[in-house]
This record gives sequence, C-alpha cells and structure tokens, in this order.
Amino acid sequence: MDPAVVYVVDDDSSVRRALARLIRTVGLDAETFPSAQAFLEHPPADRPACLVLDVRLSGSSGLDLQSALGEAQQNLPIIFITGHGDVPMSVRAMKGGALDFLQKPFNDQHLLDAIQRALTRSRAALAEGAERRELQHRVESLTPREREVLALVVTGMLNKQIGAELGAAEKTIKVHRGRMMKKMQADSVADLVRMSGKVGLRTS
Amino acid sequence: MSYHVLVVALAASVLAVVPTTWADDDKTVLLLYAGARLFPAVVTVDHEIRSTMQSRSTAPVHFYTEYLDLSWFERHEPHVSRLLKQKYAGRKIDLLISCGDAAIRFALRERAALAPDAPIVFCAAEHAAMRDTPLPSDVTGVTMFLDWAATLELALQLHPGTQHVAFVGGAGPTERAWEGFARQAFSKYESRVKFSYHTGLPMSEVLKSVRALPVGTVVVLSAFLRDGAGQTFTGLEALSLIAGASTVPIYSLAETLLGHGIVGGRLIDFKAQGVTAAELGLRVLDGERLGPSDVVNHANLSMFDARQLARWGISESRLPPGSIVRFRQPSTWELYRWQITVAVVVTALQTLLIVGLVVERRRRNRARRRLAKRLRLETLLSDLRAGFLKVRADEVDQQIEHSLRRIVEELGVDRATLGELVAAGSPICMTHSCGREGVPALPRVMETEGLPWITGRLRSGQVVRFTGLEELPDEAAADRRTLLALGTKSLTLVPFVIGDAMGGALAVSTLRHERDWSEELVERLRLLAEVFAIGIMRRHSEIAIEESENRFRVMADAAPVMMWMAGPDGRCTQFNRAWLEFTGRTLEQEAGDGWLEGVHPDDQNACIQSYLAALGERRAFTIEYRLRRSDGLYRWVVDHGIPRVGRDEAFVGYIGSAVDMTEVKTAHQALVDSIALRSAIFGSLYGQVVALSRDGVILAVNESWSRFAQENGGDPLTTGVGANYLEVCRRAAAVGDGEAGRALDAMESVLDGRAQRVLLEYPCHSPSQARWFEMSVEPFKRPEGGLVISHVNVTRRWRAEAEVEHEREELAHTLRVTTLGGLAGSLAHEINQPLAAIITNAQVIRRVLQSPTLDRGDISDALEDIAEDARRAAEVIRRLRALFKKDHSQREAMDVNEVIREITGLMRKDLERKRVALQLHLAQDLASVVGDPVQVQQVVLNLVVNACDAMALADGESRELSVATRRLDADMLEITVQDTGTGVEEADLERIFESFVTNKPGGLGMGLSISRSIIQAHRGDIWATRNKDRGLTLHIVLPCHDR
Repeated sequence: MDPAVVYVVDDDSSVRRALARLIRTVGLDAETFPSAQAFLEHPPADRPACLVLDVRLSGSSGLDLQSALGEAQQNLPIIFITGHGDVPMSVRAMKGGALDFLQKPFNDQHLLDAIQRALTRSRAALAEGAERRELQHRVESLTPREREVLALVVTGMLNKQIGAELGAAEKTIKVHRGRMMKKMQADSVADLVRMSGKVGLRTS
Repeated sequence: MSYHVLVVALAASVLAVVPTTWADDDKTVLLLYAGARLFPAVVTVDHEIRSTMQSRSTAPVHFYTEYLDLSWFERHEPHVSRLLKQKYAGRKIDLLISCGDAAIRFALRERAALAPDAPIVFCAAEHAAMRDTPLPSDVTGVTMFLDWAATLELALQLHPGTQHVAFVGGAGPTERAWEGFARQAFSKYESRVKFSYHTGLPMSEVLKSVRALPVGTVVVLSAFLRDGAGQTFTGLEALSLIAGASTVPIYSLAETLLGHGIVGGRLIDFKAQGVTAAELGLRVLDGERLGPSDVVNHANLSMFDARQLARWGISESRLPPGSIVRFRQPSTWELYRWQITVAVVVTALQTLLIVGLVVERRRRNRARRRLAKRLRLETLLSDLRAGFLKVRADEVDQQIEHSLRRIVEELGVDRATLGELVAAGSPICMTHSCGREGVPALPRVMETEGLPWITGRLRSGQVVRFTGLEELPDEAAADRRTLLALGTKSLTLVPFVIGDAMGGALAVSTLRHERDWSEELVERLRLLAEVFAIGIMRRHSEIAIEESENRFRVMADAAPVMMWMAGPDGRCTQFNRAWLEFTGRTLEQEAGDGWLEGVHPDDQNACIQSYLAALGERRAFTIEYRLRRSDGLYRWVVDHGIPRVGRDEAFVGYIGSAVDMTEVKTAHQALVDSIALRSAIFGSLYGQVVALSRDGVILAVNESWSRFAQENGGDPLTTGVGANYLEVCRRAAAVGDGEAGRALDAMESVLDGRAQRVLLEYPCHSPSQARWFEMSVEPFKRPEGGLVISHVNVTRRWRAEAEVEHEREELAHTLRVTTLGGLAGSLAHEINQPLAAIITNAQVIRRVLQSPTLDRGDISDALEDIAEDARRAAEVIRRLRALFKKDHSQREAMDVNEVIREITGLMRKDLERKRVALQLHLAQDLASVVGDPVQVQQVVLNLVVNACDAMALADGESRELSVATRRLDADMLEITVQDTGTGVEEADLERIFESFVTNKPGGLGMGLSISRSIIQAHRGDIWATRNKDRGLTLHIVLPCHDR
C-alpha cells in the first residue's frame, strides 16, 4: 500500500507551513491548501490519508468542507483545529463525523497522535472498500436466475422452498445454487450471508 | 376584369352588325382624334375634313371616327388598340387621318394591326415633335406651331407695362408637353419679365391664383384638358372659368378659343389644319404617293378678339400688319351712315334759321336782365352778411351751406364751393359745396398738385376766372386737365384770408355751358368770401377752445394723481379717472358736495371749514384728510387746490389734486419708531457694544460696556466715549499683549474692507474666574464708515462645549470597547493564529534537534517564520491597545486608507464568520485628514459592524460589504460604506443618527449618533442613502489636504 498523506487546509500561510514541517518530522507526506475550494479541486488520492482542517476559513468554512466531503469522510478522517474554539462549533464538527478537535496552539504530540489514529482508520476503510468492490464484482457475474437464488438462499430457504418460490424443480435450483456458490467463492451459507451484508443486498 | 368583359361585348356587337353595302370604289377613311369628341379644335378639324373631302371627292367617301381621348385615358392605350384592332378586323381602310400629336403617334404604332395598307395623313401635330419623328414613306400631313414666343411677343408689345407673365395650364400629358415647349420658348424673356407657372393644380387653386394676379400681368393659357385633381375639361370650359376669374388679359394659341375670353395671339388655325389634311387625303386617295417631304407646315396667324381689344384699350392700329380681328362691333355710323347724313343736313338748315331769330331777341332782353341781376346780387350780399352777424358759432357751417345754395340759385351757376387752403403743400379741403340738382359732388379733398397754377395765383391773392378752359395759359396745363376731369366749363375763384394767412377760396363754376364773369360779379364775390372768412374764423376759435378743454380732460384722466375741478360756488364739477377709481364712485355721486361723503367723519368738519375759508378768499389751499378708498379703508390724502381764473380774470372755481400719502405717513412714523427702538435695543444689548469712528474714536457704548469697564477697573479715559480704542489696542499690542494684537488685526481688516466680519474668541480671565469672550467686529454701515464691536462672554458656552467634548469622548470609548468586545472571537483569532504557528515551529525545531535523521535545514526556515509571526502578533496587539485606550483627542495627519485597512484587518475573521464578503475600493490619490485616527477608525468600525448586522438580519443570499474612499475635490474626501442589508425607510434616513434610535435587536442606538458627533468634530459630515436595489450606503465626507 502507498505511504499515507496528510492534507492541511488553513488560510494562514504561516500556520500551514509550520504544520507541514511538523507532519514531515514523523515521515508522513504533507500537502497544504489555502482554502476548502483549493482542496476540493485537488483529485483525491487512493491511499491512506487524513485532513487537518481549520474550522474558520476564508470563503466557505471548515464545517462546510466537512459536509461537502460527506461519504468520502470514511476514507478521509478529519482533524479540526481552531484558533478560538467554541463549544457549539466543536459539537457540530464531531457530530459531522470529525475524528478530533484541537485548539490552537496545540501540543505537537497530540496532533501527531490524532493524525496516526486517523490514518489507521483510513487504512481500514480503504481495505474494507477493496473487499466490498470484490464482492460487488462477484455479484455482478451472476445470472439473473442465480441472483434470485442467492437472494432466497441468504434468507435461509431450502432448495425445495426456493423451487416452489421460483416455480422450478428442486433439481434445477440445486444446479443454480452450486454455480452461484462457486461464483461467489462462498464456502458456506453463513459466509454468503456475511458477503451479501457487505455489498448491501437485501435480505428480506 | 369588367373592362375585358366590356371589350368582348363591344367586339361582339361590332361583328353582329355587318353593314358592307358600300361599292368597291367607295373610299373608306378612318379618322383618329387624339382628343375627346367635344374639344373645340376637334370639332373644327372634323367638320373641315368631312366637308372638304365629301365635296371634292369624285368617289363617295365613308368615315369611321375614333376619339382616342388618350390624354384622359392614357393608361388604357393598350386596351384601346386591342379594341380597335378587333373592331376594324376585316374592314377595308383606304386612308388613316390622324389629328393631334397623340393620334399620329398611335397611328404610326398601330397601323400594322389596324390597316396595314392604308397611308397616313396627319394634322394638328406639333411641328417640333414631328420634325424629330422618323416617318415612313407613305406618311404625310400638316403640322402646327405652338408659337409661344410669338404669342408672348405680341402680348408684351400690346401691353407695354407688363412685368409678369402667368402661364396657366392643365395637368395631363399633353399639357405637360406643351408646358415644356413654353418654358423653353420663355427662357429668352426671363430678363424682361417675371414668369410664374400655374400648372398641375386643381382648377380651384388655378382660379384662386389667377384671381390674385396683379395689374401688369398677362396670362398665357396653354392646353387645359385635365386639372391636378383629375377633373377633365374641354379647352372652352377651362377658358370660360379662367377668363371669369382673371382681371388681366389672356393670350393663348388656339384659334378655337378666340371669342371666348382670350385677347388673341399667334393662333393655330384649326380650320386650315382640317382643310389641308383633307386636301392631302384626297390626293392620296387619288393615287398620288405623298411622303414626309410633302408635309405642309402651317404658319400661325395673329388673330384678335375686337371686344377684348376694346376692353384693354388696345387700338387696332397697334396690331401687327396682317392681323385678323374678329367679333368687331359695327358702330352706329357704320350701320346707319346714309340715314345719319340726311338727318344732319336737315337739322343744320333748321338751326341756322332759329339762331337768326334768337339773336335778335336776346339783344333786347340782355340789358333788362343785367339790371335785375345786379339788384339780386346786392340783395344777396346784404342778406348773407346780416345772416353771419346773427349766427352762433355752432351754426356757422349751416349758414355757409345756406349761403352757397343761395349763390347757386341767385347767380345761376352750377356749383358754389368754399375751399380751405391752409398751409403750402397740404391739400385743398372742400369744406362746403353746393351744386345745382344733378351736379356731381366734388371730392372733399383735392391735392394741390392737380391745380398748381390756380393754387399759386390764389396764394398771391389773385382772382382766377375764365369763361373757357382754353383761356388758361400753357403753364396751367395740369390745372386744365384736372378741371376737365371735373367737367368744369367756366370758373371764378376768389381767395380770402383768415387772420393774416391765406384761408381759402370761394369758387363758382358752370358745368353745362360756358359763361362770362363780370368785374362787378367778381367784386361781389370777394365781399361774400370775406363774409365767409369771418364765419370760418369764428368756427375755428370755437373748435380751438373745445379742443383745449377736451385735451385737459384727456390729460387729467391719464394723470396718476387724483384731480378735481370746482365751479365758482365751490361745488365740484369734475373728477378725473384716478379719483373715481380711488373712491370707486361715479362722477354723479361725487359731483357737487357728494365727495364729502367719502371723507372720514372725524375729518369732515375741519375739511369743510378749510375749504370754505379758502373759497371765501379765493386763494389756494392744502387740506389733509382721510378719504375712503373703494375697498373701504380710509387713506390719508393731501388735497391741494388752486383757483381757476377765466378769460376776464374772473374767479371760475378751483382745480385741485389729491395724493394718497398714507404710506408716506406710515413710513415716517415707522422711521421715528425705529430710531427709538434701535437706541433701546442698542442700550439693552447683553454684550458689550462699542461703535468706533474710522479713526478708532469711541462714538457710543452701551450700558453693558460701561458696566463691564467699571467692574473691571477700566479707565473711562481709555474705554469711554471719545477715547481712541484703536490706539489703546495698538499700545497694548506693542507691549506684547497677543490678544490685543489679534483684536487690532481684526479691526484693521474690517476697516480696510478685507473682511466683512471678524469673529474671534479670546480668554480674559478675571482674578476670580476663567472667562472667555467672543469679539465680533463689523463695519459701521454709514457713509463715514467706522466699526461696531461687540464682546460677548462665552465662558458658559465654552465650558458647555468642553463638557460635551469630554462626554462624547467618554461615550465613544465605552461604545468602542463594547463594539470591540463583540469582535472578541475575531480578535483572538488574529492573535492566536501567529501564536499557533510560533509554537508549532518551535516544536518542529525541538524534534529536529532531537532526531539524528531529520533535515536540519528546516530549523532556520522555522526560526524565520517564528520571528515574523511574533512581529505580526505584536502589531495586532498594538492596534488593539490603541483602540482600547481611553484618552486620545490628539490630532495628527492620518492616511484614511490605512485607518480603514487596519480596522477591517482586525475584523477580518469576524466578517468571515458572518459570511460577509468585504471589498475595499481605496482611492490612490487620497490626501491626509487631520484628526484622531482612533476616532475615525471607530466610526468605520461602527459602520462595518452595523452593515454586518443589517445583512445578517436580511437573510440575503449575498452579503456584500464595500468600503470605498475617493477624493471629492481639493479639500474634501469621501468614505462610503455600502451594504446589502435590510436598509432603512426613506423617512428614517435622518432619524437613525439620533440617539437611542436603533433597528438592531438589543442595540443601544448610540453608534450612529456618536459617529456623527465624531465626524462633526472633524468638521465633516455623515449621512445615509438608500441603495437602488437593497441596503444602505453611509457617506462620510471629511476635510483633507495634501501633505
């Protein structure tokens, strides 16, 4: 896996420079941006990463950026920093899924620890994402009939019940089921249920 | 559409009737006329062609006739030719005869279709046009001349006084063509006469302009087939209308118009045109081959209408040789020559006999008659003389008329006239004239130019008399003409004098026959003339008196003063218009003693008594009394009357004038009052007031001044009236009293006229208290000049101002601190930011130093950043400290742009948090403002905070704040703060600057009030305007100057 990167978004250039220096002392890559806009225009990297974000930015605020990132936050945990932290704002940030909220001036170790935690989470998210994509791929290789069979198998139905449900012979269902299990590389029904949970198949 | 139907129908009807019963050697001629059937020229030509051809041809000749009417139906020519083609299809046509320009053109163009083998003979074709038309070898004919030049020449010759030629014509194509020829022909005459063209107009307009033609104009009438309004005419119709309207002679070209109102001209003889065409046609029909070389050119004839010649007084002898005169009225002599001759001879013989007898008889009677006549004359003279003695002035005219009638009767003359001949050059005025019944009246006025010789004789006092006009000498030729015109046969004129001057003459004359004037008669006439002169003189003097009275009346009425007149009894007889307008009453109401009703009851007695007293002594008087004006108000009038004296020095009453002097009286009283008032005001003035002469000598002081001087131990020698105040100040200034120096400067600058008014404040502390005074120096506005100086104790004002200043500063500080408190978050951020960077950088350095592997190069960069950030933090703190400081009020030159940048820099984070986009538009050329930068900053801060709050309340999409500066002129600059907030109602724009007025929830309502007092303390101004779309703009102007 690629080395991790830390993005710094702060409108104060001197703060940006200091933070970048600090992050590099622990061997991490640091990339700085003067505004939320500049950051959003930067293509997201497919590697472990986190974002050190000033709450108050010129233009749109750090909180705006947070909500703009939305789902992508899974892979890009945010550490907020603020010059003058107020409680309501930190609550909003944490509710929005921020990992940490540090007040300037902050202890270097606290920030670096937070960054490490964030990167760990990012790595996990990335790995999970990779597995989900693989499972998704497998589901897409199924025929429509096999997909129907899959949906019924994970509800715990037997071949006979499935056959009745789909209006086919039990024998035929058995063939479909075998092919499906093979394509999904599932060892057991339990395995299949876990997989379908990960790709978000409905188990109704 | 309907036209085509018509064509087909016609064609069908033509085909249906097939009358070919003619023999083979019969000749068929197709006559083509350009004009309508009824055109006089067409009628004439047609008649001549038919009669000539039919009478002279050996073989029978048949005619088809077509009236093309092309000038009326120009546009339909193609249809016409198509119709004719169908009509004559299959007919044998031996000859085509065309009449008119359009007809020959039509014949040449359409022959191939109509009658391909028929030769063409044309007539009435314009010579010039035919000359330019290429003709086939079997075409011949007779041309006519439009001889405009010769006709014009004739007209000018017969009317030598002609200045103007009016060319009148129609609007159709023929008329346009003719006009073209005419204009060309007339161009040579433009230097001799003026031309006007009355063509292309509606007939009504033509007639209007013809009617207005002045004497000295000749009308040249062209063709008139159609007018500008599209109405059609025959030439005769047009002529009769135009001749009816014209008061000047008309000339034209067509012989057919002669006898219908034209004088004449070089006329085209249409009869001859027809005859010649017929002759040529006959030859062609006989087999002769005639072509273009055989074309006959007809000369025009000078032809005239005798009646018109008589009308315009043109003798036939003046006509050019060979002229034809038609419509002569044969004279009686011409008609009855023989009968007359016989009658005359017989009458002559009888007369001779009668005369012989009469002469004998008359000789006997003459002596008797002469005696009787003399007697009658004497009686007449004495009667008239007596009559004039008795007569009153207003009966003089009547008496003269009566006398003249008697003269006519008694002397047996036809007319007796009294003429006045007052000054040389003025006309003779026939004041009275009496004629025998049936004798025409004389003109009332006669110019002396008509009777120069006679007037001359009369002026030298000589009698003029003659029995016959031939007796007048040669130099009296003009007189003879005039008398001839009056029909006078014999005349006697007797001059008379009035006073010492020539008065006029008495004239007796005969009109029916000549008569002798005896010496005796002339002598009696002289006496009569004197009697008349006396009468006239009386009348003159009477008129003069009347005129002078009238003139007085007119003058009095025009006079702006009120006037009146009274008789010897003191009762008023006349009031002029001004008087009557003033009182609003009528002359009848005012007359007698009526005017007294208008006099104020309190003044009536005095008024009457003064008037009666003056009347008793018949002397001039002046009375003042109140007279009621038309609006009911009593006005003071001054009435001045002077006695009138008649011709015989007798007292005939008064004439008087009255003037409304209420205003004068009021003004006088006001003046008296105002002087008293002024001195009272001066004396009681609160300040210490002194009036100085130009040299500085004290002229007057008020009470306050004297008291102040006394209280402060002032020496009356230096501060009392008579002392020289200027000198006192000069001395004090010389020993170093600065205030005295300033006062001296002020006084001298006003005295020199350098300043209108000088105000200066100075301290004048007494031992017990601090005092300030304001000294005002103004010019003493009087011819001699001088100064008025007042000193006012302004200590209280001074203190109050200082107090207000102090309070304002306190308040401003409080407000500033409060406002800044609201910005705490933003300010903390401004300090925190550099601090955070400093700490982080320090930690980096520590880590690098602790680690053997990290790059040491970062250390120096980090240290540099640390130093920069520390400086930044210190700067922010410095600015904040200044704003939080309480005591400022030191004045310094400041850069307004810098002031704005600093304060908006401090608020940066706050603006961001409030999502306000700030734009600064700061002018480059801004001069500096002297004042307290912190206070100015506070104002800007205040405005920006207000703007942010207003925009937060507005919930608007965009929160735009613009702060701008610009130079207004050399010594003013403007700061504007513009927002997109909720704004303020127009009515509240001024109110928002009052204290405790606020739109903000929880606002104090002090910000703008403090801002205004700060700006006013900087001698500037602040106000608000509404933006076009939304929000408010605050304007601040401040005085500035270049460094």
